[in-house]
Amino acid sequence: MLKYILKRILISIPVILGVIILIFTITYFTPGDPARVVLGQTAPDDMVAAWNAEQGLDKPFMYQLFTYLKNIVTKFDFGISYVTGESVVGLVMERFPLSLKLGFLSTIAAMLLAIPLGVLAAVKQNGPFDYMSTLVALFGSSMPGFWLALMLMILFSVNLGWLPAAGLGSWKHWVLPIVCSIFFPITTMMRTTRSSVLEIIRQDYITTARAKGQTEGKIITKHVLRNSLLPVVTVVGTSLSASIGGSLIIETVFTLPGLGLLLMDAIANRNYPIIRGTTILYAVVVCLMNLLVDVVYTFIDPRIKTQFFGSGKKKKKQAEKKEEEAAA
Amino acid sequence: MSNTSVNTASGKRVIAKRKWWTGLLDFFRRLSKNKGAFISMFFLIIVVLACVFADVISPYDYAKMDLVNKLQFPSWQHICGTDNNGRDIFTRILYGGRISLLVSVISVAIATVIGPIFGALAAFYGGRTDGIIMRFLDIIMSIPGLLLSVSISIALGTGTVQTAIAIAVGSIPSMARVMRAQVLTEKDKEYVEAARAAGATDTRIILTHILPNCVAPLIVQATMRIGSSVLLISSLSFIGCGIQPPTPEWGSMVSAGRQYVRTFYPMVLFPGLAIMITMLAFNLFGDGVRDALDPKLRR
Amino acid sequence: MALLEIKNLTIEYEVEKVVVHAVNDVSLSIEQGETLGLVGETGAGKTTTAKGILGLIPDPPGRIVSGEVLYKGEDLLKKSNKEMRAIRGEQISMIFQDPMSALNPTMKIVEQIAEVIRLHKDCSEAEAQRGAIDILEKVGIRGERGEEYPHQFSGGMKQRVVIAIALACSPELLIADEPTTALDVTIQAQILEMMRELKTEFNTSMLLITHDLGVVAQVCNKVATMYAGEIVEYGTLEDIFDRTSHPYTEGLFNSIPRMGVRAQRLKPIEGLMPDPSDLPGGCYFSPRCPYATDKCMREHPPTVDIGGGHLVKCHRYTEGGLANG
Repeated sequence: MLKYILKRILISIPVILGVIILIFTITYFTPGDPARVVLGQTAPDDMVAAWNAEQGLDKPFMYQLFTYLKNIVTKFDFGISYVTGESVVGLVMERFPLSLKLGFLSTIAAMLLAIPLGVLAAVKQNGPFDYMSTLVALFGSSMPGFWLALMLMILFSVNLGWLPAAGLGSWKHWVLPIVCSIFFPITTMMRTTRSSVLEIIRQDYITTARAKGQTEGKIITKHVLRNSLLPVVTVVGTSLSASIGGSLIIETVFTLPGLGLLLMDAIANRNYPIIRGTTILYAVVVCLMNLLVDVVYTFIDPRIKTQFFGSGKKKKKQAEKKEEEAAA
Repeated sequence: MSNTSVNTASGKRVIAKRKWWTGLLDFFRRLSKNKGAFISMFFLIIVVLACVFADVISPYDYAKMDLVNKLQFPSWQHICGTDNNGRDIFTRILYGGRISLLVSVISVAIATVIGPIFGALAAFYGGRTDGIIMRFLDIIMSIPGLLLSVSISIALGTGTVQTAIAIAVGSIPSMARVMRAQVLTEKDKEYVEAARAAGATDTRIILTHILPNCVAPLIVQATMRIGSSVLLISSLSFIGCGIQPPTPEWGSMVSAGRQYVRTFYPMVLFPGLAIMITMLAFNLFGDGVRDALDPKLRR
Repeated sequence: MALLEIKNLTIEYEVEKVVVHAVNDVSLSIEQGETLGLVGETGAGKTTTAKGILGLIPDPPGRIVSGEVLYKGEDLLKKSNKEMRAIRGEQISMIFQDPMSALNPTMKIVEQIAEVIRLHKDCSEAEAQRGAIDILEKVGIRGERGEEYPHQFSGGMKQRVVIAIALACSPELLIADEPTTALDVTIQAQILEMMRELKTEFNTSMLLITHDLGVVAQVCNKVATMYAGEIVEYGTLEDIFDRTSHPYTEGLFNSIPRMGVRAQRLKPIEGLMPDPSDLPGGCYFSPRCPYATDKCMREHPPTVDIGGGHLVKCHRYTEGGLANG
């Protein structure tokens, strides 16, 4: 079991490395002069040259890339912000918890709503509820996040004045951001749950359960859910990483001091170290999420579980084969 | 491929030759069975036509400023009102539609050419080639779509071509994967073995046998990606990358309307509505195309 | 009184405005301790009949149009779902065709057997598990294997588990839907032998659905041949095998290669079974019947008793015979 986790982590490392190289390469080729952004447009050339030398920006590409990687691996140093001079790691870590919290709360809220709704829609297939929920899912997945956020803001903050529009303060400040964040995940989770349940309900072992005399309710909870939730786990994982990434838009609209807002400012300021650091962090989160989903699967899907927890199964299988042959 | 054997009532087998366009007719017939898809196809055609013929439909110039008439609520002269520069919002939506659709289609076209090549290579040759290509795709997919496009967008700058490339990169992995999955399924099928036994070369097998069977899911995926690309473009423009004023683009229009959120909502409402309606049409259409092309649902 | 008596059962399915006549006016009976073989090709309506007995026809799209299913004198079709649930698994059990998909992949074997015990007997979880292990050993599987999951079992073992589940509460009637079709011939023989022994031990009656006449010969007392939703011939094992009467049954026997008979080619029955949503007029078998006349194409044949309860649905045995009436 532990071996499997270690193996998975080992596989993730080249991917993360690849991400770091990719992001660095992309941001390396951006136009614009960070020196002038920091020092001012009218700064004298020799000052600019000196700043560039200090930042190592006058060195060739491979050298810069190598230094960047070396710093990350040895000192966990992602550089410093061009604007404030603070360490990137420090700034990012300061802002990350908020985005993480937003992502988590949204995903949990989405799960609590989407899964029961999905099951209900599947069980009452083609009924009015199913139809309605499909419609809502369709609309929800077509709505641009920033638009929904703004529209809700207009309705609830501007016109009704019930909820604040920006910043953090009380629990009220969390309502609109979370509502906006859960919309899209709910639609995907609900759709996945629904189609998964529909598929499972057709299976032969469900008919077997009925032939045993089991009640419909127990059939749903004992037989259907256990099997249909497997693909839903994957979707929850993707949703979580998507929520953390999608926080970019939500934080921008609602002015929440999270990672997304940090990134937005960095983009405007051509603050490459921050841009790199944040994007890399997002990618790492996605990788970790995928890893987590795989690990969770080994616990809940017996077909995978037995590969790891089987004790002497090989011997048992050989003995069984002999038994069968003897009986023939 | 163009012959099928049919059992007639007398139980005898007859080889029936099918015309090449029966496949297409078949597709349309099944598409029309799915009402939602059919309506959305109609809708899409209207949207596309409206954007293409924007200059015929609307008498206004999308760029000309007319500060006297700024910030007007919807009226008969201005169906969606005017923005902070006095420009008619509906006109800007129509022209913006041109841009969004054009850029989406171009980016998906790019991805549909590049992605499947990698996918096919990975699936056909397997082993290390597959491993390397899939790792590379994993790397791209680890970066959340918006962030990837943002990074490329700031590297390339704003503008239509640059945005098309930025978005195309995000679509490449999914197109590659779809192709790879199809090729993997097809290459183990017996007709491939049969072709090999008859002496066909690898290239011939890929081109004449495997490719035609992979087209269907690629089309479905491409349709879905055009829709999500429209959304991505507007998100990018909203942030300040992608496509910026004075070129009209739905996302940047919403962004510009942010400052007026308290007093004047049309600048935010209408462009966003346009995005949603277009996305809706693409989603429905994509679902319909998928159902129509699904061999399992064939009668 | 017969244990199970089906009278004039008719079941339809409606799918997208098309009506499928799955089961048409079927009647049969099974006595205590008897095994009735229901023979026919795929699509003949055998599984639908079986599901109809247990009330497992999904409504919609299925519909029981008419008829009675009398179990110990009571009409099952008139019972509420709650009453049927008490009967399923305990009085009447069913084994399904494909053992590979009949078991829940995420539940341990012993739990799946214990489930049926707990549903019908008032006992604790531990007692149910003990009972489950008992029946598991009876079908020839070591008790410890109950802790494993279905995917760790081979096809034959899975089918034994399915049988264990069906017999766990000692039902009076066992409905077995092609229990050996999905298995190799050698395993088939084992399973049949096991079923025969258990049947004797528990004195269970059985409705065995199959398309394999060889299996019928080994296990059944009575046979009914089914075609396009109808019972076309019905009688004892000897009636059907030695005094084959209906052209379809004849055709079935002719299609199998026979030992001691020299033949160059197999004699299959020409044509295909009709589409149950578009049944032909007259006798359903007439398009394929080598003896068919105009009368057969026009008039639906009645059921005729040709001696001692041997029933046939064919014009050849009616008063007027095949002559045009």
